[in-house]
Amino acid sequence: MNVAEILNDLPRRNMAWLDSNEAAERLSASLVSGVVKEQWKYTPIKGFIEGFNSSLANPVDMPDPVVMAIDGAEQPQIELVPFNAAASEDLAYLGNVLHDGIFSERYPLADLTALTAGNGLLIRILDTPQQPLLIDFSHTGCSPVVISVAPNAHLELIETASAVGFHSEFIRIDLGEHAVLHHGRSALAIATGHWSLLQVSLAEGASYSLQSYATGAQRRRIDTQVLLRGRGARVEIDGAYLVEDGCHLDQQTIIEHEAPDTFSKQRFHGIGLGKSKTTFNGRIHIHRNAPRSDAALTNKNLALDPEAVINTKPELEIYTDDVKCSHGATVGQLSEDAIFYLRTRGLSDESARAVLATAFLKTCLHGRLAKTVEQRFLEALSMDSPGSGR
Amino acid sequence: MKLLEVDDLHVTVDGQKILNGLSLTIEAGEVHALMGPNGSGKSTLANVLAGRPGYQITSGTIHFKGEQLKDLKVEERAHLGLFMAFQYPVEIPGVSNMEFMKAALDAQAAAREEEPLSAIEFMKAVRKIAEELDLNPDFLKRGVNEGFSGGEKKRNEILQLLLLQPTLAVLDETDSGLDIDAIQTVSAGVNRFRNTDNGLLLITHYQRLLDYIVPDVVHVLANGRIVRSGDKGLALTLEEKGYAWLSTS
Ligand SMILES: Nc1ncnc2c1ncn2[C@@H]1O[C@H](COP(=O)(O)OP(=O)(O)OP(=O)(O)O)[C@@H](O)[C@H]1O
Ligand SMILES: [Mg+2]
Repeated sequence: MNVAEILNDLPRRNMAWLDSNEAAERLSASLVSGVVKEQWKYTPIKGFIEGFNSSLANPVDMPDPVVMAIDGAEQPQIELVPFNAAASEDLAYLGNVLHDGIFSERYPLADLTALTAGNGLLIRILDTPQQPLLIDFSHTGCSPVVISVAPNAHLELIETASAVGFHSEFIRIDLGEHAVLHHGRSALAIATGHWSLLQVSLAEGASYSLQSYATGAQRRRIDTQVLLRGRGARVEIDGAYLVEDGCHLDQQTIIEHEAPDTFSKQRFHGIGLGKSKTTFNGRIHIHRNAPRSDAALTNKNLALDPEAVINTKPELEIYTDDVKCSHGATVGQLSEDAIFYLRTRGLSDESARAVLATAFLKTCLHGRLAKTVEQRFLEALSMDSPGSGR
Repeated sequence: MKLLEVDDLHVTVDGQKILNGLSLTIEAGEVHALMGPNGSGKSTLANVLAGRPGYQITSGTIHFKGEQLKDLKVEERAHLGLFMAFQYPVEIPGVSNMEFMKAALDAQAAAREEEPLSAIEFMKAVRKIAEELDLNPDFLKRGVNEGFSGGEKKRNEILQLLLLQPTLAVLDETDSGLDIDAIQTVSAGVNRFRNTDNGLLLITHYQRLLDYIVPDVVHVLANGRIVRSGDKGLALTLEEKGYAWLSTS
């Protein structure tokens, strides 16, 4: 089946939260637009859609409307509303937030995800819960999620993507004034295909910290968009990724400084092994009405194999003078001097390399997911080293 | 017993001849000092012994404990008991000093088919040595040499020497960058390391170090070969008269 046929075959259900004809039309139009050509340069979107379709067409994999496991939602401060059960007030809210950039030319897979899923989940955080909220995208399928965090509430969100089949999700998070979110997310499975969009909007004084960890997959694309909408909103992101032989990871982050005195700091460390393909694109956009913005991005990569391909491109767009902004992106190799030093103390060449590579990633590892992620990275690194029996 | 036997060694680095027929023998229990002008090839010798990639032996041989050194990998030389304290120790951010030294000890124990130290024994041993060297135990938690001052890096090298207990230690200008008190603490540590079974090659520019760690033999390296050897007195004469004296005497 070609992409046109796939699009034709998409279910056109009648849903209060989604105008499926409009979504399908937007999707078809986006696929031929210049924006998509540019945005999906390193991940061919058509292949993505075809793979998606063949996987979802398989009845064994036929997904539930929302294919995720949730833990911690029974707390009184948390309210779950399936999109299809939303009352008019919630519907109006969903309409607003989903048309705030998610349903757009830039993210055609959001329309595909919405159409395929047919449902979604609205999670309302009314006040600070005692326990973290855990979400795992555990199965093949599509999951639209919207989380709204009430003003002044604090939330810890742990989000994992453990599915090995094709899956896609978009998550829109709204942080009310002075709300605080600690968010750990990981995608460590070598899925046949995975697309994820995270869009977080911050009101005045809200604060967001994200730890984002990923491995490559057959195809994996992670889009992250942070909208600093209110004065003094702050975001800090630490990310680490490792892309194994034959795998693919394409990450695109956008930080929109839309209000005065906003702050963003991002640090991503990544490693490419074997014949892997890694893309990191970090865009910082400081709007005209966002004086005294402070933005920093560093992205460091190590290509541990001459055949590992790594593309990294920071993009800066600044429309006001009074800002502090820095960005840096590098692709390098392990330091031969450091390897030699470790070997003179008795470590083998392989373990010296593994020690250095792990240390490089560990700089960005913390929080609740750090242990699992480190373990996963270590396994990949020791698998990779010659002499490990592979 | 001969620990190290270097015979007519010629070495090129990046196509440039650096060592030109260097010969040197160190017996167990001996301390040798190696002096010589900047660029004469002292660090090159240390690096060749340790096996740094890019250093080409074009002729001559090196035997360590009877084994041809050039057949051994860098880490195998360490397992056999060779140690080098670097002139410029590298910083390795993200790898804690503690973690690094445990990994080194474990790797060496495994290679020698010995039982590794338990975590507790290890901690005790490291803490004791750190104390002897006047190193704040906080250094152990920091990244290897990360942000260490010049002198702290040198002390960290000696910490590793005392922990790993090699048979032959090459100390490349360990005294450079140490303050006057530190030279004494470090020398005391090195003297405790000395015994009748191991050996030391001290590379230095300053005869002052040799007041604390007294050498059996002093060599002078110039243009890639040893041009003069003598007892401790040679270092004193050099200090007084400078290297120019060698060509006139
Ligand atoms: N990679 C290289 N390519 C070319 N020449 C090199 C290289 N490495 C070292 N050399 C040269 O080899 C010579 C010997 O250097 P070495 O570091 O061994 O001197 P040294 O005796 O230790 O000097 P110092 O007392 O200053 O430490 C120097 O002239 C140096 O410039
Ligand atoms: Mg030198």
